[in-house]
Amino acid sequence: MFRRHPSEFERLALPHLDAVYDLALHLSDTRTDADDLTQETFLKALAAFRRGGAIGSMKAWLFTILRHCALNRRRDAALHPCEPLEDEVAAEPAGEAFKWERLTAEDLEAIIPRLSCPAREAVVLRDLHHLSYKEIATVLACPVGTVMSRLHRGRAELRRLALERLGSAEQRHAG
Amino acid sequence: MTASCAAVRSCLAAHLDGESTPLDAEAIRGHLAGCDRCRSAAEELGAYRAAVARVFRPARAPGSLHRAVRRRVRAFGRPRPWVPAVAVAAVLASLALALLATREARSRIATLGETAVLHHDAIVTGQAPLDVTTSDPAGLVTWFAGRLPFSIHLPRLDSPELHLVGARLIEVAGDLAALVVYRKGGAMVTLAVAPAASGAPPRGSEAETFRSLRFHLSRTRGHNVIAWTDGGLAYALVSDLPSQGRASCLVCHARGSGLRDVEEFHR
Repeated sequence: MFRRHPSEFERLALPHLDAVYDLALHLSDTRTDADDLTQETFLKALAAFRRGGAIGSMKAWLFTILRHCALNRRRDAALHPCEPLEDEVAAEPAGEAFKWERLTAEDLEAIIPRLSCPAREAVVLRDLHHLSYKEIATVLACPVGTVMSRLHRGRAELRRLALERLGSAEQRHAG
Repeated sequence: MTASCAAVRSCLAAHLDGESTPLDAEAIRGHLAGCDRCRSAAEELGAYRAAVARVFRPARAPGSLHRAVRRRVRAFGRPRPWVPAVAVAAVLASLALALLATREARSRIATLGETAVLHHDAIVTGQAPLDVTTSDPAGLVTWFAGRLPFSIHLPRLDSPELHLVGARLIEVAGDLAALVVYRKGGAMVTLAVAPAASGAPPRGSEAETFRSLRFHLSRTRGHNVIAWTDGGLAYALVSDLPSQGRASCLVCHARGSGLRDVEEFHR
């Protein structure tokens, strides 16, 4: 049976280690969990890689495996899985305009974990890791239309949380 | 909001994300040029994307994680590297592993039984973690189904003495294989399953034939190893328990286990 060599995997997959680790952090509660998840992802990916089979985008493929590992861990730990939203149709963001130029790295770091799980996954995969909608659909095992609605909802949630955070910071500053 | 505004809004994010949309890009641009509200929505989405791109810096994996992943990828399928251990027993086990690995590399031959013993020792001493811990045989079969190029069957145990602990993927002579770990009393029992082609009988083993199956019994590194092939797969059972012939087989092959009845292959 033809088997791909681990050195080929090392050359193709390991350049994505930082990205995999970053996503693992977004899907884990602790850095130790993210470390373990990253290692588990690469070992599972290597085992599958050696068996052959088509791999489109290596990064998206690694993300898919990572997400499966994360979901399995949550299930094994009897934690709530990342359930789809009951209503996938997002509300239209409305109200006051937001000055996005005021957003800082600390704001983003504080807001992203507060997004609902399905929305967070979509936002992280698209806006932070720049996967295409089709790649995100593969990672999340859902139709592209669902990706679009989760992304829309995630961005609306992020906007609301950014308004709250920066609004309260302004109030503290004024006070 | 006009119908055309609704159509443009539904495609706006995808359009700005560089995705194809049901509306022609030129039509969207034309609409935005003449619609203040949609243009304003597009500008805010653009500002959001620019802000995220400006502030987001993906986390960098620690150097220790880079090294660990690289080391494990390079060691894939080979025995785990020697690592400092606190317990003397673990140190001795590491040395034994290294010696066996050297011998294995030199001879380039690893029978399923020898490989199973190697991993058995590594698991007992805590050198090699399990990939999955579970007491559910059906769940474990499903877990293996997505990872192995062959199907395995595990018994539904009704023995109060034998408990499923978990499993890991191993590599035997270039093939992926299953290593299933049980606990009987205080002893670990390990079952390795691989394609028959990679499961040569242990060297120096005694062979016994029971009806349709030929079992190879050997002592390897102080453990009892029973190896056999059946249905295109090779099996190696490693333990420190004495072999009790039919009684040993009955532990897994009892009625209701879901496996072949022991009468089919044992006298």
